[in-house]
Amino acid sequence: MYSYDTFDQTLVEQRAAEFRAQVARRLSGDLTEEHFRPLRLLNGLYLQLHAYMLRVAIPYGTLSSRQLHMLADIATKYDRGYGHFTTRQNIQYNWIKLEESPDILDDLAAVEMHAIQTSGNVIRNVTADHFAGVIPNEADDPRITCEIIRQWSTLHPEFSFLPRKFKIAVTGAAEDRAAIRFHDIGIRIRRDTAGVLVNDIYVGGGMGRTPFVGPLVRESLPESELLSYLEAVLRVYNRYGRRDNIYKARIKILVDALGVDEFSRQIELEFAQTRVEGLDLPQEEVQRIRAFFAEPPYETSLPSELAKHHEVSTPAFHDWLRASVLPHKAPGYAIVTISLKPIGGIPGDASTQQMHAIASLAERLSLDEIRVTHEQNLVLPHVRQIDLHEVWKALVAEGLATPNVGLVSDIISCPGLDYCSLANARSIPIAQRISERFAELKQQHDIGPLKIKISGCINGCGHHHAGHIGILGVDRKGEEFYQIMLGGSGDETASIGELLGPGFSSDTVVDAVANVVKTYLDLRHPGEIFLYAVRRLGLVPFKERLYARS
Amino acid sequence: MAKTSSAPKAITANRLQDGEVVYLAANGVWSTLFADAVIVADAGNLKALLDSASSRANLNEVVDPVAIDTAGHDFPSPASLREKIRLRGPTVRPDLARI
Repeated sequence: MYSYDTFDQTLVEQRAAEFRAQVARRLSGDLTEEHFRPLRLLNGLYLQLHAYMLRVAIPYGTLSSRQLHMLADIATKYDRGYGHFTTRQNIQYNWIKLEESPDILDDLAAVEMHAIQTSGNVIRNVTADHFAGVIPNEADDPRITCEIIRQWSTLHPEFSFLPRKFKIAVTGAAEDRAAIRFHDIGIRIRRDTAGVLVNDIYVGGGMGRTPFVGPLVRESLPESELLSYLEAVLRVYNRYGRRDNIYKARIKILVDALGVDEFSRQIELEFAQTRVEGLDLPQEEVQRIRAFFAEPPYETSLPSELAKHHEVSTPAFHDWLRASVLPHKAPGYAIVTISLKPIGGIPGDASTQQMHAIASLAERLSLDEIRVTHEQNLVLPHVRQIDLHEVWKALVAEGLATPNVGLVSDIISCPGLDYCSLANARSIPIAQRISERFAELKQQHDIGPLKIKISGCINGCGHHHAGHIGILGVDRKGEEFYQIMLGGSGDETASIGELLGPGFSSDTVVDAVANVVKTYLDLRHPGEIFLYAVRRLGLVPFKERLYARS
Repeated sequence: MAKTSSAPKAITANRLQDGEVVYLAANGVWSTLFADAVIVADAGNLKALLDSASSRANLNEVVDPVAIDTAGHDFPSPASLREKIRLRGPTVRPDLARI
């Protein structure tokens, strides 16, 4: 893992001290809310329905045990005993007091964390494949690139007042677990035919009001020129991105308006300038950062126990192995995904006790590391296969062993109208009821891989456009209604879901989802997963059944 | 601000120090109890109340005061789902309910 140097540490400590002074001036009345709001947002502090909400950055979703213990302590000390892991691999606290927020930033700084650039029209926390560095067949660990981008983008003076927020995601694998094509910039690291690391750059993807799958604008960019290329993209956006209309201010609108060819031409013109400005890191610095992500000290000669576990395990352990455990690149190790989606629970929420338990588990049995997924689950990335049963028992004790990862009840949901001041409808209760409807595990296995994603407003924090089944909550004359879309995907075959038809009330939307699933079960080919069945069948058979007059 | 409607209104905001949901009560006091809220049906009175809520002194105490629709004559309560949730707390965490 990356470890702060003196510069990093000083920066976050000074930022916390600066914010303490700003809060004091606000509380004394020296600063008006109008002046203070942008300052608090620059430190991730929002005002939501019930209280202030603090969004803490978890760079590329990687945490140490010490950091997760601190996040748990913050939940107890300053919040109400829980935190919410988000679709941007961050954590949010929902019940923060303004007067205590500087103390939280101090506590975060003590473990090399902060809330900088988790809000505002800046380059946000960079996200990555949550299996970075541990999944087999990866071209490179994307966290090296992420860390370089983090350092480049943190408090970047030229990009502190962009037309709109800006999100970057990176993957080093052929399989896209980071939804890179739904980001302002998506980066896929791969090796070219000569085995040299290169980057494919996608620009202008996004969800929200106007969803786009980001087009490829630069193929095979040399690794050594990444920063000067990103600088060029941001400069073009900063210069031409719209500032007159918040709904048309994201880079995706600019790319669409100019067309990919013209946009690429503009970048290349700018790139010709930036690449000679000395923006790219010297190789020694790249190597210095790379060293932080060197393989941990894996034990060698460990037995491969996965197959054995599958053969002799109890049914409950077997179910969990099947859902939560993946092969690791190091022999004898496994990757464990911890579901934060208990049946009927709140997606992404974890209690103080659960966070402490996971942190302790990681300390003992996962080489001191945890990952946060954009699907609102956590990962123990380095578990010895011989320890899997012990890990499972510990997770069972904390209610963290729901064997549903990747299944229909592993639902992404934004906080929705239960917490969020932007929301039009509640998301969480719909997720809870859907998971209860499909609670039976045999049924979930029969349905197979199916990603349901729910947003409580058009901003799309719940990634509804990228859901195999996407659900969007809307307000219709004061009532909650839910639109259903099918066929979205955030993976390497990225696609935007298509709207099925008229929306459903809160009372009927779960039945509607069940109807869609039943149609799939009736019409699928053997072994065909939901997404591919929708792509083959189109929407018509689903519409016919869903809107049939009874 | 809520859409203009003829429904009686209350003024709500979030308390500056801790973000707590509050309502403008009699004598310009902010209360966490909706039962204390001043309910006004007259547009002129509403404007005066909002002006008062938006005074500099008040804006050092609360954030974003707005008028909201209420429903019910004898026992008025917030009309919209959003305001009901603000009053009662998240529907998915009854253990954290405000009332």
